[in-house]
Amino acid sequence: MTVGRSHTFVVFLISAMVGLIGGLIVAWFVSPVEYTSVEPSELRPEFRSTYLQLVAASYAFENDWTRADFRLKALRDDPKVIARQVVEVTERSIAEGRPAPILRALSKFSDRLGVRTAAMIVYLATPVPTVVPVATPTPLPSPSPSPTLPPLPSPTFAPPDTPTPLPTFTPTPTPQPMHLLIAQDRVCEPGPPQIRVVVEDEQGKGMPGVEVWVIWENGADRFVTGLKPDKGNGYGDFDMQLGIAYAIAVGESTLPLVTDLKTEPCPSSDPAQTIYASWQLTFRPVPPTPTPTPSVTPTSSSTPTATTTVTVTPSFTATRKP
Amino acid sequence: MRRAIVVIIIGLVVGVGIGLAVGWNLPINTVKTTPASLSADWQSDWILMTAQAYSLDGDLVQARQRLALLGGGDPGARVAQLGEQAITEGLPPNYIGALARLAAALDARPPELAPYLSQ
Repeated sequence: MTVGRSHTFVVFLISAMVGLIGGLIVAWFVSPVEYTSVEPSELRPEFRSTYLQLVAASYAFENDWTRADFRLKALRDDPKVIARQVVEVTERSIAEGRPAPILRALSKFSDRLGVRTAAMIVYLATPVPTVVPVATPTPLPSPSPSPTLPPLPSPTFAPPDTPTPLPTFTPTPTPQPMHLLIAQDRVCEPGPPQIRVVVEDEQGKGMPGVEVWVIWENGADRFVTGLKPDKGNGYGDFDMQLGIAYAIAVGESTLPLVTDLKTEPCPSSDPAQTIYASWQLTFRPVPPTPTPTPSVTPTSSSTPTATTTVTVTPSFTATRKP
Repeated sequence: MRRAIVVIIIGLVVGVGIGLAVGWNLPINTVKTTPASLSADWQSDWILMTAQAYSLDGDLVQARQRLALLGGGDPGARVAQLGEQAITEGLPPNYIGALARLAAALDARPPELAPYLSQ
């Protein structure tokens, strides 16, 4: 009898263990818990990418790093992992040819996270405009939101919006051009109209890595020569839009060297097929001018030093958390 | 023999019950989910960010897709409702403007938001 009971108990235990394992497998892997009312940390990877794009766009719109950082922290992930994901989203968006304002926003956001890649350089150099101006004063029911905003936990130094500002973030003309236009040709070929720039050195060899500004009435963009080596080391191009007048600046100086560049229809024997003209521009460096002192000795005051002192004024940033 | 089968079934049921209870209360692998499962506050933030992105790129198709991820009813009405809520809460006018423009693009034009369309 005792043997029969213990045998039954062993059978029960074994069955219960099998059932327990089965139950755990179902609960953990087959039908795991799905929460509702979750935070962004629970989003699937594809939606996390969308979320990061939105945070970047919002940061470009609000210019409020505290709020953007709060949104990133809601992902509950290592900041380095998040930064890498932002870079991936940015580069994928660039490859997909997303609208330039979003690419600028993503590049700026990625740069703010401390990661900057070659593909972002062009977009980092131009400001992020909004489609509609946001600074027009209007009658407001409650013009000052600050009384309802939660206070910051402690007086802190507001992080700068652009920790690594580019020297030419705003295309401000400087009085001394570093390049000269030596040829300007109108090109009629099938395909989209382009501004094609060739930058050469004094010997006529193409110079890669030279920044070329394209400036128009409501914006600016920038490209770098040498990214299409099959067309020459000093070559770079930009697609033109109809009806827009462009100005071109080359190198560190943003003084326009060519202005009022427009595309227009080329004469064609086939009136059904309109070809719009491209412009090919060739630049060379300005020849050095003789100076009274033939040699210049670097002084300590002009030598960059490894340490830079940055003074940050304490300021409070009003934020509203979601 | 019949008794053994009953014991096995009872053991399995008890084991599965305990396994499910433990597994669902101590999850090791929760399902990653969609924006539709976000809490109400985060859904509102999603809508606000979508409106701000729309103000940047003017891409209505993209904005519609992003709002559709939240599920629910008429996205325009939802954006407009959030715009009205933003007015009540005293959010900055450019935030309200972004919501107003997206709502208008989605054919939702409550009069309260009209003054903010140019913000």
